[in-house]
Amino acid sequence: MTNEVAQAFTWTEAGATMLSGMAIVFAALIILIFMVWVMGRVLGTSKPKAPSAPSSPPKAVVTAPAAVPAFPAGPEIAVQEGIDEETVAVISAAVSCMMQEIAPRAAFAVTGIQRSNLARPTWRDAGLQQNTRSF
Amino acid sequence: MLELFMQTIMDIANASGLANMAWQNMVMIGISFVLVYLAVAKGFEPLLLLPIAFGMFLANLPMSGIFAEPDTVLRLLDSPEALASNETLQTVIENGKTLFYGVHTENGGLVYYLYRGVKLGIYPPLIFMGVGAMCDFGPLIANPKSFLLGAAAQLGIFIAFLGALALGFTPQEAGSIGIIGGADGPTAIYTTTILAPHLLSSIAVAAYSYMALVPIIQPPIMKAFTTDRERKVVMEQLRPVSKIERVIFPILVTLVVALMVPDTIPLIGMLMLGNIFKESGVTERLSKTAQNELMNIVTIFLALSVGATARAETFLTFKTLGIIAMGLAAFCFGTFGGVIFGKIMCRASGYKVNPLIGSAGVSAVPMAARVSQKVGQSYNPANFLLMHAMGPNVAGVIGSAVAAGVLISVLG
Repeated sequence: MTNEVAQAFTWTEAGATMLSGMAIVFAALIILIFMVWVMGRVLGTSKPKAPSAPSSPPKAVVTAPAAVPAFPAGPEIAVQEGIDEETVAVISAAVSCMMQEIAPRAAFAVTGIQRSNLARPTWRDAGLQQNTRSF
Repeated sequence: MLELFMQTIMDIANASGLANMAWQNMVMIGISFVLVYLAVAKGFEPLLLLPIAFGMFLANLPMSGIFAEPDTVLRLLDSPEALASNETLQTVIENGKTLFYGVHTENGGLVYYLYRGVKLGIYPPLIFMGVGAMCDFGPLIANPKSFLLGAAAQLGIFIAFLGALALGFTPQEAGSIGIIGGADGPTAIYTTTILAPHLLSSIAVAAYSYMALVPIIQPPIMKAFTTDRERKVVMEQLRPVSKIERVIFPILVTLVVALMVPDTIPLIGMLMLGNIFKESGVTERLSKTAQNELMNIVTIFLALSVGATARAETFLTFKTLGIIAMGLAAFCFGTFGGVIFGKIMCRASGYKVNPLIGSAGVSAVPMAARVSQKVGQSYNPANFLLMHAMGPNVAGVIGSAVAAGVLISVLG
């Protein structure tokens, strides 16, 4: 095989590799588009709806502002010395989330925050449990 | 006595690294220092470039032996009793005569053993598992058309492949150089290990350097091929993706890609394994390990051993210059392909797709998506393209793995 022929063969092969490569990449990804689209249709959540355009021009609706009930001032939180305000805010928010989940209508108030004197803190206990749980 | 003293000093001096330092070693050590500088001072992919540079430094110290292969020494014995304590006895019968040999095996260097993970194709798929555990395919599931941009951006791989052939590289070398355009380190290393292992260090250094340079390379190309109106297109909000879609997606992708291009199974399979760890929600520990501890350990082993393959005889050649040039071409054409296809989608959809997200199809997760966001926001401060660009970005990871599989199956 002469060099010229070898070169021509190489270039033909190179062109074929390039075209077939791009074609396979596109084919694989187009099949995936179709399958993901079908999956989305069957299992997907609906598209976020844009607010529908009003059929008639919007009217100026004037309503008296509802009276906002004054939030009852809760009792003063007794915070142990050494616990900063950010920790108080985080603990209060966590308690609020928890209460909303377990008793959404219950009225509650955080009255005090203090360090627990457990021999083994709960967080450490949770970590230990996670790390020693078997596969 | 003075003579003996001087002789001893001379022997030690002659056996020292300094006496055996060749100019090539000095150049390579200098290059490794430049890479250390780029990683530390300029923040060029430091997690990879720093261990690569240090591996290069260690391997080029004279007489370092860090990459030495294990050596077996045979010693003919007069009798079995002459066997030394560090030898094992081997008996050979030759022409009716029994010969006794003491066999002593010298261990190889540290990096020689670490490099087994690269040579046997173990590390890149493991890193891909970590990448999968970190990837959020949600934007891609919400807008599957992004796959097209991930495919179009693979153009750079094949253009660089042709370019490298034109420069005189063999088809296998050209395939490895082209895959730099996938902007995906593990894929580039995996492909090169199979097709052209002698170019591994140059290709790895070029790939990671260009990945770090994505914010510099891409914007001029993105701006050159888009109009002002296209750059300001605000895209529709993506739909939320359900958990079951997220869990099925990795299985679906593995099935489709593996059936079409079986050579990609190690890469795509591990990528999707990592992703299902994350999305299933029941293997949080495995997901965390894949994306943190395991990924970090494997990254150290991979980068150090790849860096140590950069020795003067393989690195200080004109081929390295060709690799650097073609690597840049691969990145540029990949960006071009993605942007042009984005432009086509923009026009076809009636200006609902911003073509700037096309450039994110080159992989380089998540930096390329960030570049799309940054360029888009510079033209319309109220435009948030990041999540839209993440679709083509992760599609690019899948696309480059498919392209690697094609090159391996054709050229391997």
